[in-house]
Amino acid sequence: MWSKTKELTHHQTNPVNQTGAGRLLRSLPIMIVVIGVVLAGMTRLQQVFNWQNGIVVAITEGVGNFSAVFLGIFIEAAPFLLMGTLASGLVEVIFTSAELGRLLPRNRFLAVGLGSVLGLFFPVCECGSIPLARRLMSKGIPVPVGIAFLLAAPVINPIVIASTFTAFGNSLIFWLRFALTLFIAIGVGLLFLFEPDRSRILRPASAGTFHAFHLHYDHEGDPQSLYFKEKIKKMMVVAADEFFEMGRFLVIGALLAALMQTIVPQQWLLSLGQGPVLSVIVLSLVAVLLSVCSTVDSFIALAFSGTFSTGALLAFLVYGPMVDIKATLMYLRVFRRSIVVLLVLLPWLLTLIAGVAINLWVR
Amino acid sequence: MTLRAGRSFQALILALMGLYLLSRIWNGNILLYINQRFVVLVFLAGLCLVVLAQFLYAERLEENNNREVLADSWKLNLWWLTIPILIGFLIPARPLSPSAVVNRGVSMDAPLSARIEDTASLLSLSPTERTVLDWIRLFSYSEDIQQFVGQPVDVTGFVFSDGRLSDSQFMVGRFTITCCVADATALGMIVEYPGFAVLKEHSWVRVQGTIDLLERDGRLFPMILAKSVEAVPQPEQPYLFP
Repeated sequence: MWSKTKELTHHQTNPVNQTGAGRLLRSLPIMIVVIGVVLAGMTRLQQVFNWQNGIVVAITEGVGNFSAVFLGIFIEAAPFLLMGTLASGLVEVIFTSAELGRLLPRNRFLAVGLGSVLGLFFPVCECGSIPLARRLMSKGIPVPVGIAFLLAAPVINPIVIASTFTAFGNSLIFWLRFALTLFIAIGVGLLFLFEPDRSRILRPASAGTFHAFHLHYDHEGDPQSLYFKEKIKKMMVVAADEFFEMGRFLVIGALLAALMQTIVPQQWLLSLGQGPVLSVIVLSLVAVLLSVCSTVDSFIALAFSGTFSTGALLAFLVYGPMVDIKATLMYLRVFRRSIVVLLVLLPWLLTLIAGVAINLWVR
Repeated sequence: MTLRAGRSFQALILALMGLYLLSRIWNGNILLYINQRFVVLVFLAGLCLVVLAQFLYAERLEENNNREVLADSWKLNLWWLTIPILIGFLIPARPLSPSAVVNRGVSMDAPLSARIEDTASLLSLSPTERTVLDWIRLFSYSEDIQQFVGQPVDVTGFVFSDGRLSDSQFMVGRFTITCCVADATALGMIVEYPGFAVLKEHSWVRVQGTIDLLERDGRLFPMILAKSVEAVPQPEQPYLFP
């Protein structure tokens, strides 16, 4: 047990962390906390002394808007993240590693297809689907199935189906959103059948938290032998650890999205692209930058529907839930870097092709 | 840091986060951040975080926890997760200010979050009780919009000017929030008011007058012929929830 711990600490003091960039990265959260406290103090003082200086008012207003958007995203996403990590904790204590793999159909294509519609039974949005997908894969679900789940679950779930229907009704966009998402998720998932070595796809079960925890329970054998009370406890601790691990990326993503929304005018982004091809590119990038939850993005798309083509709206609705700032950061935690590049670019290209094709041939 | 200390910190952060969410619900400020239909979900999440904190706090006493931990990333996570708590508690809770409209743009018509084509419940409201959102909905989904011409209007919103309008016109707007502030969209109605020049951009006003129609690009939009425009303080609840 101790030797394992040593290995862990050794693993952590890798040379990257000793470089300047590594040090900068490590002090980043502390810097943000300090800047935040200074700005917060300033807004308080502005309120107390009622300064009316133009610059001070502009800054405090900016800080106010920034914090409103940041807290909005965080408060909205935190319950979903919590749901995902609790589900992951539940999977951890209920199934032994081999069991879950055996529940899948033998046929690999069928299994990937099943993975893409699994979201119907686990209604989580992108913040929740990533920890859950990782847990499922570590419990013996093949990687292609896990990836299909990961990409499709934020859209193929009851909540999002309902909200898209509210926004678009029984229209072309409604049906195409789900068809395209399934197509891309299954396609990308099947691609991973060609790489049977999962260690080249997944990062080694990530450092620190899990090991610290697993060490403690390892000697008690597989989860089946734990008492009920122990199981609940284990589920809670696994969920909490994962909440911290993924919550970090939620915080970073929300900070970036809030900064973006406070500084860059939306009109400016939208005026960049018109025409059948450019509009698709621009709106898919807007989806990444806005980082709104998949449960509401259809309402936002509705706001764009006056100015943008159908293909562009679909790109927004299909690509946004698969890849956005916070999801990409979480991917980096789970997958190797080259795989993340693939997971970001491949769906994007497929979305572009589909969006442009719809613009040119359908309407 | 030992694992024991780490667990205590985790418990502290989770408890503070849970209490933050619950306290915002208690004092009503939660509605400055999210749509009301998500409040129950946030409430459950707040409770859940407090319970999790309790489990972690108990967990710190488990054997093995005197070990020196832990990966840098593990400790960093603690710092990152304090950021929402600090921002939440330290920066005074304020709604999105009307000046944000510059970055977000305005919509005057149909692109509405909740597509309620059934306008019966809106029609049953007395005209002066309708909000900016109600009016725009009515105009988007009613078959006969001529019926509204001449009806009295009494709406509150913030002032903003738009280059496309004439000198005597401005827009009165409200942010609508479907999910959280990140998706806030401004909805606006055009107001015809000769005294517009004295109004301060982005200040809150109450507009009273009658409905008229304005044709623009071959479409009809509602326009308020204002009889009076008075400055008012920002409403308790500055957003409208579709």
